[in-house]
Amino acid sequence: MNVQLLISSIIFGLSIGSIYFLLAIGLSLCFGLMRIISLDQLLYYSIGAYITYTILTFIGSFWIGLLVAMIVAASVSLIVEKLVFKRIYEKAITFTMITSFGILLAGVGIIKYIWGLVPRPVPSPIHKQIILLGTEVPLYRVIVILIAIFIYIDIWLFLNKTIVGKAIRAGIEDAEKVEGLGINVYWLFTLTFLIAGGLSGLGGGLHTPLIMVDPHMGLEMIPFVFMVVIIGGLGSIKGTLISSLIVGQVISLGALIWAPLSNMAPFAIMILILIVKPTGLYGSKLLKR
Amino acid sequence: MTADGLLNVNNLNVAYGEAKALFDVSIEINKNEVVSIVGRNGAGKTTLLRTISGFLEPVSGSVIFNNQDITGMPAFKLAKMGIKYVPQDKMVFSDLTVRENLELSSYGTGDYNWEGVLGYFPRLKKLLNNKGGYLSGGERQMVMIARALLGKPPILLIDEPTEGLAPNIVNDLIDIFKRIREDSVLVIVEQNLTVVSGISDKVYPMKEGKIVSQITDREQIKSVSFENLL
Amino acid sequence: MRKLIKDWGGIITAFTLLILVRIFLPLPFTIEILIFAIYTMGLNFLLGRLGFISFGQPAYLAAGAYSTAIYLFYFGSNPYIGFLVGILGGLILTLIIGPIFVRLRSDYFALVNLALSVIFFFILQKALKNITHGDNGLWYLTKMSSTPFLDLGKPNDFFIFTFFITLLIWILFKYIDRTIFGASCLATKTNEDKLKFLGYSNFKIRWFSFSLANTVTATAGSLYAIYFGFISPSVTEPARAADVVVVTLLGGLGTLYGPLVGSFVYTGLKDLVSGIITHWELVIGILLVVIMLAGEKGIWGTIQPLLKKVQLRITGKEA
Repeated sequence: MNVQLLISSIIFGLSIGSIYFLLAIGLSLCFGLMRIISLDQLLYYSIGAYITYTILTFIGSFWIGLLVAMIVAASVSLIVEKLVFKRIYEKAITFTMITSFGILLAGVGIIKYIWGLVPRPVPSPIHKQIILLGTEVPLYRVIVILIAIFIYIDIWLFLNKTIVGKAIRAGIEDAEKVEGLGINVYWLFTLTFLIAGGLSGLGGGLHTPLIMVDPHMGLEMIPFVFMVVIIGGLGSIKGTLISSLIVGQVISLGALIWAPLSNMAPFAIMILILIVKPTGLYGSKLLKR
Repeated sequence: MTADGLLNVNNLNVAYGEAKALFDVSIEINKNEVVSIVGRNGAGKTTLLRTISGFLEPVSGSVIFNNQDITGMPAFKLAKMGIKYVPQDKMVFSDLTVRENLELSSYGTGDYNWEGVLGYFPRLKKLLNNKGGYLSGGERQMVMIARALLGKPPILLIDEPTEGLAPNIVNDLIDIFKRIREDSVLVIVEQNLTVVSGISDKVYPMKEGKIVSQITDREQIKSVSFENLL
Repeated sequence: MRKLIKDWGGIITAFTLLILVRIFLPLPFTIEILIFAIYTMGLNFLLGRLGFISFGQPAYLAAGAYSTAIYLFYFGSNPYIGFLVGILGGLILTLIIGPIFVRLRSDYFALVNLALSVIFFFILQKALKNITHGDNGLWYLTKMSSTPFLDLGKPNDFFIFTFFITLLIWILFKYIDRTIFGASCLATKTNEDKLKFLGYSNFKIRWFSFSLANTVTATAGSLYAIYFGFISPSVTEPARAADVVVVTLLGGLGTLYGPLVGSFVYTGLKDLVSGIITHWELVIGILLVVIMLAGEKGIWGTIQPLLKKVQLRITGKEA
């Protein structure tokens, strides 16, 4: 096989994996701490994409757009948390899953009202190609990968080195005991939801130059993001990282072999992993409290 | 509504959905007391402690602490006020070190003075950098109680502290409880009746969600046969 | 006799109303209600009795629809055989994947089902393009042969056929609810340990109920295939997975009448609203959130106690 093709495929896979990671990490944290499945994260992803597109159109700066996208996505997630999730944290997982799916659908409807049905293209902010191991690769994709690495390091530092992060980690094990120590876990819930929403928005914004922005982008993303979360194991940060790398590579290398494989192979791998380990690679037996 | 003691529980009714778990439970806890609640499995002892500490909301009735109605307040606020609950599962945060376990409690209560607490449990000093998951059952119980003691809680609710522990560790715990009682009121749910008769000032036997009687006489506590009561 | 009315009064009323609907409302509307009701009954059983939510129901719908379609396009022309082939297709699929799926925890189950419907979509659209003709779909409306009795090619006869199939499936579920099997299904949802204690195999109960529920879903798919005389991969579009979940909850989860009520309201609402609002998602989404926040009882779950009261008042104190 052509080495240059292989290298550019790997970079391609890493860059999609990075986007998946940004979306899946928030979902995974939300599941771990609050035991909710927050399908509405895909709404914040779409909002992030549309805000980036809008700011780019009016102000002309992709990077400012990205920043605003993160802020808007996080704010919307905060509103949803206060309006809906506050009332349903105690409920069963399937309950939160259905409710959040309703939020996602309603959000898609609103997006259609504001921006219409027509898919919008977003030009890449960086057209430069760089040479990596003798292969020309788009600089933008490399930057996406670097941003994801930066975010991973930040999250790792936050969870391991700050007291709030430690409280979140402890909460993933047993939120009730954290509350018993006098820590306001509901505040931790809100914070985690906010972080997840912001990261989803960032993921959406970063994804725009690589795809078309359209109202259904969030819905189309669901299977892939959830595949990442499932393969990694719900609630595991390390698992999410590893599985987003795997899924990204399977998609891009699968496409090299046979085009339809890029869409189907990851699902086949997911089902294989679940046959061997029904809780995913790093998933523990976290149950509803 | 009576509010003479440090903590008064008045006519508390608690239900899990349709199933009622507590029926008109009233208890009174005064300063410098060790109160034991005894009873068989399913008698409602844990439910009572969890309701007092804010993890369950009662259907009716009230909990009064220091003349303040605390019924239905969230558990983290009660923990800050000094009503600490130590559950029976003896699970510390396994992914965190002993030090981090204590840090979290300091973060919750604002009490960063570890001297006194580690004075009770000198053994923990050596284990500060060990992860919770690698501790023995007795060590975990020490961490749980040490964690709860931060913030100098006036009331410590401990669920089955000696269950599953080796006899020598149980004896250590009894000694520690005797020292703790100088600062805090202990409310203990216990199956081990030698522990109960060794330290209790007051015993509430429970049966089928009700308080059966109240025994306050030290001599009587030592001599009474609980088997008949329960 | 009184017992008979007490047990079956509800269903007689419901299906009489359906016949009235048939008289006063357009036929396609009524047929859609019936097929959707069957589709919903499958998920209703899965979610209401086993506590398993699935966002991948279109996959099972497609299994039935494509089995029927492929038979009618390539092999035969008798729609009745096509119908049976569709049910068989659904049964075989669920029996094969059941053992893997029912071992999963409910949250993973939902997500894996979603993934399954995506796989189906890609298989039907791309991987098996030679057989399924991809997005162009399969057309066989004219190939279906007419039968002397109840000709499924005719909308009116098709309605009668669908009507009886719906009734049959409804009776099946009512019967199951009363058997020990129905009770043990509910038990797997509420208390796994106790069930193990009683010596029932969780795994077998789940596998069987999973197969039953989704074979019913496949039956709905098969009926769609015969009714439209055409099938395309759009039946499995992941975005459409919400419809059936909404209808299940809208009607009232785990209730016998829920699917009928839900399908009726949903189909009606969709017809009404789509004239005014073009973006249907907004309505479904808000509806879903409102139902959940209102206590997930759905329409039937809300009016049922009221109906009971009325019934009590009419029949006096006897209950």
